[in-house]
Order: sequence, then structure tokens, then C-alpha cells
Amino acid sequence: MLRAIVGHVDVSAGEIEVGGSSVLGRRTFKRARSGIALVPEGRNVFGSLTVLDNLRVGAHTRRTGRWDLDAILETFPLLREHLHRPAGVLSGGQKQAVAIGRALMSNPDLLLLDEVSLGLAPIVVRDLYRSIRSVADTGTTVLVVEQDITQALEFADTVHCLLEGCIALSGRPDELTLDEIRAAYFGTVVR
Amino acid sequence: MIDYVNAVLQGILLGGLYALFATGLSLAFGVMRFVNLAHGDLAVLGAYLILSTSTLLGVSPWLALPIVIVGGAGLGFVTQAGLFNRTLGDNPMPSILVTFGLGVVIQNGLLEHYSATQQRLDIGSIVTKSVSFGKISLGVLPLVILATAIVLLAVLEVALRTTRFGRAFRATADDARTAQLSGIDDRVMYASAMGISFATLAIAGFFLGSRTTFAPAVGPALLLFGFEAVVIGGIGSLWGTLLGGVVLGVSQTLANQISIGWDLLAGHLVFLAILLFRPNGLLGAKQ
Amino acid sequence: MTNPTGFHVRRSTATTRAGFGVFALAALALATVPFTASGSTETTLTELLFYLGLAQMWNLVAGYAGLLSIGQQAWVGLAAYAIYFTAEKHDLPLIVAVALSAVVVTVLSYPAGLVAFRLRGGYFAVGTWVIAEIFRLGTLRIDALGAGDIQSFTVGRAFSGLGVASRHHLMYWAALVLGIGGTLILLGVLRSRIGLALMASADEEGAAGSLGVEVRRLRMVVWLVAAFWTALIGAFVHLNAGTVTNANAFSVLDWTAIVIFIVVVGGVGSISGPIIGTAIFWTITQLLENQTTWRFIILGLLAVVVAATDPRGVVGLISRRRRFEPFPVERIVTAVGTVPNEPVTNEPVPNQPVPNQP
Repeated sequence: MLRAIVGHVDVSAGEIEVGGSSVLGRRTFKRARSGIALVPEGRNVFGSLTVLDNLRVGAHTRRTGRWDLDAILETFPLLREHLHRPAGVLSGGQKQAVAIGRALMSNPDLLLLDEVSLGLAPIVVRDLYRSIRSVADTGTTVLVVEQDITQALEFADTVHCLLEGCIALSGRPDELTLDEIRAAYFGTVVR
Repeated sequence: MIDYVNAVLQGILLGGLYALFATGLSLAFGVMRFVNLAHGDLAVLGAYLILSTSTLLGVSPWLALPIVIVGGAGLGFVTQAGLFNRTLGDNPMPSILVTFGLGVVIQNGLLEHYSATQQRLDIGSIVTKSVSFGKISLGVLPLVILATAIVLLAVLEVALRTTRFGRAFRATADDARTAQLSGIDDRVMYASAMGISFATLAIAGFFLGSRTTFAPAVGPALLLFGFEAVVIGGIGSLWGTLLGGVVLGVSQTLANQISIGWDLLAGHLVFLAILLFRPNGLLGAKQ
Repeated sequence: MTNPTGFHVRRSTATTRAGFGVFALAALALATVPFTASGSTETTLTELLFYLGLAQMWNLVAGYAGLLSIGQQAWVGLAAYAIYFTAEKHDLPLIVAVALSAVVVTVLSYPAGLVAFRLRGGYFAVGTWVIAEIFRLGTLRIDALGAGDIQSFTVGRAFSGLGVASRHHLMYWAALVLGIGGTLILLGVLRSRIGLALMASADEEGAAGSLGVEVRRLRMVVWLVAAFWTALIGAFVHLNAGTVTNANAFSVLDWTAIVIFIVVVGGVGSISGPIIGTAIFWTITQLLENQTTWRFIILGLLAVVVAATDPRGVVGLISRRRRFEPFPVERIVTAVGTVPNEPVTNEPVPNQPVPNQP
């Protein structure tokens, strides 16, 4: 679904609107320039570029806002000591932080995160979610798609459960029980 | 002994010319995994365009060169955007067929328009000047060519490392889909890479035409030399490209010193040996 | 071919039966040309049939085995030297000389394949080109072959005692056998297990383990078959020409570029493509009256346009309206006992994975 929003996969029917205007028919890089940033599943960093260059590539759109190099390093302090190492040699959690940091460097209006926790240790996921929460608190809309929801629930404002492509259940995390969610399993939204 | 030292030195200088041919190939392959089989014919086209521009305007080839560099950059950008980009994808067949076909068309177009007569760019007295160290004498023009190759590669290297555009290039080369997520238009990157590649071909064609004579049919040989320099040096390494050109040049001049007529064959065999025993090239990263 | 699982596999359709019939009739009609047509028609057709054979072989390696070789001129050139050595220098009987030449070239193509197969895509293309150059330059350095930078020698002893007309007839029939034979070889390979395996694996470059080994083995088989047949054609082309010169024998333009253009314009990865391509080549040659540079320019431009738009060529254009493959290479599977609506086929598309038959 997130890949459709950024335009990596084609949509055969329906409409995608972000901030009230349709994004269909616009190529991926244009959608990125208009303020939609995706952190794809699998933590795609530019492996041969340094962490610093990865983050600078994120600023390619030249969109301005509160996110710059210093702000990113404040949110993800673990990156500070790795700035000049190639991103390809980092650990999974560090790569995920680079990928999120790179997305933030474009000062997006909407930040999309796909399977943040996949393949990471719970303690690393916890740190990442804490950082994501702080991003959301600055006013950026953050949409997280997760299968493993136990940690995501703690940090989310709103949860939508998708079942076969339709929203089966919505609500604030504290209004929903785990059993209800289990019944309508899939996906979360932080706001 | 002095003959062999001389052969090695001449080979290094010749390598400068090969590195110039290889730079554009190396760049296009590095950014988009694209092997331009028309590369050699385009270098010859560059030499002819400089010849025609200088004749037409009645100026020295030195003045025609910048015009053709700028024109070449534009032509490269348009060719990639309008034609080559259509052939990109997982299947390498369309890009190989399109560039190979284009090379044949260019070669025969030149033959039709300029005939098979050998041509030469007259760039003045620099061609005959040389500096001597004892019994060894090095041509000034070959030295200029080698220096140009080094400067060109250094400028490209620094630009790729430090500029916003260079970072976007490297990001696209690494992972084009993810680069798009950062607002980078991969197609514009590819077109720019080909623009730079064609611009370097204008320079290569200029020195080709002033160092030796040229004719439409020499294009394929230039492609092979450039390609061999890229592979010997190691893919994705611009300094490797320079080293590859030098190794190829030295192999040729040294072999010719040992037995006349073996230069080209020796160069190809060194390339094959590198391919078999060091497939990532001398300076290439391990895969 | 019936399958016990409840599927019926057939290869022929009305189109293929009609198509094959036309092909057989055309072959028969062509065989009578020396008795019915003028000498110039015979000469033109000889050249075209040689090109058809070369085109089918490039189609086999590139269109079906995914080996985009730009070094096929190596086999023509080596065959030229071999035929000079066997037929002229050692005066062997024609058949023996030709067979020996093709075998020698095939043996030489094996190590070339071993080296080239380590490369992929564009690298393979340029790599095969370099290998062909190595063979060309190598022949220039071998004294026994008359080393020297300019070489030209005649090949005529094999025909002593034959009149000019009989010599032309002989060459024509040889070209007919090589052109039609090349088409039948392709048909045979594709109908065999090798063809099915190649088509299924054309896109799986990195196929691992035993499957990968098997695919490499099959590609080598195809590579050797193509080198053998290309060498046979190369031997006859030079017997026909009567002279061998180094540059012409190893010409990338004459023996690879034109061949690639014929296949690409007609339709790579289809048996009828090279036949249609050869016809287009003939038309262009006629229109241009032997202006060879314009022949390259126009055919090359056509190939560039085709490769950049629809790589399936003219055959692809025809197939848009209705399925077109007059040669019975497809396996058409219908479930027995159900209403067969749209038949499932494994239509061979170059370098596309094709579903295996159930």
C-alpha cells in the first residue's frame, strides 16, 4: 500500500490523495518533492555512501523546515559516531535510523514507514519508536505499517486495522483491546 | 634496457589516451550499468565534428573543441533521455542492440559523408615538440593528453564526492528506486551522465585526431580499448580507469618492443587474463 | 504427446500446419532455382540463404540462450582460414575440407565460450567482440597461414574441373542446405528438451546449484552448435568468393552487424523472424543497388528503432493482430474434459521466463 502512495507500484483503480490533492500520475521523485517520504521495508540505505552522504542525499529536494543534520543527529544520536562510515556496514538498527533520518532530511509533510521492526531486536525497535514518536510530536504526520504491533501500539495515536485491503477496525490504542485487534489484524497509524 | 624503459614510458602516455576513451564508458556504466557500444564510433564522430567546426568557422581545432564539448554534452543528454532511457531495465538486450546499431549507423554515416580518407586535426606545432631526458624523448602532446586525463578524472572524482549533484549520482548508482524516494529523478541523472560521457568523448576525439590520423572505421577498436581499460582498472573506480588505460598502453608498447606487430594482441590478452584471474579489476571493489 | 494428468499437449495448430506446408513448398521451389532462374537471381539468393543460416544461428544463441554475442565473425573468419588451409594448401576433397574446417572452428569456440560465459549482458557482448579480435590478430601472426598484415589468397583448387555454371549451382545448393538447415536446427533445438529448458531459464541468470550447472551446459551446447553451423557457412562463403582477406573474413559489419539487424528487424526469439528479416534485407539491398554504406545505415536505423520500441520486431507487429508462429515450436496445453476457452501456450518470448508445461 505504501509503495502505491509513493508510486513504486501502479494503482489500477481508486484514488490516492495526500493533503487533499491527488498524487496519481505523478512519478515517484515528484511525489517525494511534494513532501511524501517513505522509509521502505528492508531499510534501503545507499550502502557505498557514507552515513553523512546518505543524510545529505535526503536533503536533495531542498525542502526547508525544522529537520537538518543537527536535528537528525539529536533524534538519532547513535549515528553521530558513524557519520563517515559507509552505510552498508552498519547494523540493522543503525541502517533503519539512517533510512528514517534520510527521509526526515526532506522535511516531509507525510512520513511513511514500512515494517520498521522487521528483523530488529525488540530493544532497538523500542528506541526507534521513541524517536519516531518524537518526530510525530513535531507536527509531521507519520504513518507506520506494522505486522508486529505490540510495540507500535504504545506509541500510536490512531490505529487502523486492514483486512484484505479494507479498514476493519479503527480507534485510539487505549480504546481497543488486543483481542479486537487480533481479530482485525494489520497496520497502525501514529498521529 | 633503455629501449624497454622508453617503451614503458610511451605506454604510460598512450594509456592517457585510452583513459580518456574509457572515462565516459566508466561513468555511464557506474551510474546505470549501461554499456554504450557506440562509444568508440562517437569518439570518431567527435573528431570529425571538431574538424568540420574548425573548417566551417575557419578557426583552430583548439577553438572548435569547446563548442563540440558543449554540443556533445547536449547531444548526450538528449540521446539518453530520448533513446537510451527506453532501453533500460533488467533485460540488457535492448540497450546492447540499440547502442550497437547506433555505432554501425554512425560509422557508415561518417563513411558516406567524409569518405574513408584518413584525416588529421592540425593543432599547431605542439605535435612535433618533445622533451628529452638523455636518450629518452617524450612528446609534449602525449604528455598533455595524459595530464588532461588525470585532471578530467580528478575533477569528476571531486565532483562526485562533494557536490549535491555528485551525491545524487552515487545514490542513483547505488539504488535508483530508493534515490527516487529522496526526490531524485533517475532519468535526469542518466541523461546527465550520458551528457558528461559525450563531452569527454569530444575531448578524446580531439586528442585522437591530433595525435594520429583517424578514419570512420577506427571506432570499434577505440570502444574495445576503452572497455578494456575500464575492466582492467576495475568497474566503478575512476582512478582504476586511469590505471587500466596505462596498463593497457604499457602492455601494447612493451609487446611491440619485444616483437613488432604484437601490440594489439598483447593488449587484448592482458585484458582476458585480468578478466579470468581478477574479475573485479585491479582497483575494483569486491562484490 | 499426451499427459496422464488430464492435459493434452499439442504443438500444431492450423497456422503451424499451413505455415510448415508453405515452408516445405518454398524449400522445394528454391531447390529448382538453378534450372529455372537467371544466374543473377541465383547469385543473390545464394547470398540471402547464407545470411538466413547465419541469422538463425545468432537467433539461437542470442534470442533463445540469451547469449548476446558480437563475436560471431570469429567463426566465419576462422573457417575462411581453415578452408584455405585444408582445401587449398593441402588439397583435401571438398567435403572433407569443409567438415574438418567446421570441426576445428567448433573446437576453438569451446575455450572462447568458457571465457565469455563468465561475463553477463553488455560485458558478454564486448567480451565476445574482443575474443573475435584475438582470433583475427592471431591468424595474422601465424606464419603457416601466410602471416603478414595484409593477406589475400585464393581458394579455387577445390573446384578444378568444374565449369563456372556448375560451380554456382553447387554453391547455391550448399547455401540452400545451410539456410534451410539452420532454420530446421533451430526448430529441432526448440522442440527438444534443451529448447524448453533454455526458454524457461532465459531470465534466471543466477540460477544456482544443479539447475545453474545444467543451464550453463545447455548454453554451451547451443554455443557450439551455432559456432559449427556458422563455420560451415563461413567456409562456403569463402569458397564461393574465391578469396580470403583478413579484414573481410573477420568483418564485424558483414558477419555480425548485418546478421543482428536481420534478426532484430524480423523478430528475435522467433523462427519466422529471421526469414522475414532476410526478406527485408533483400528488399533494402535491391532498393539501394549495392550502396553498402546506405544498406548499413538504413538497416541499422530500422534495428535501433525496433530494439527501442518493440524488441519482437515485425513478427511482434503481426502477432499483435493474431498469434503468429508458423513453426510448431509452441506447446499448446488444453485440459481434457473441460471446455477449452483460451488455450495456454508457452509462446517463446526472448529472455522472458516461460511457464513450464504442467
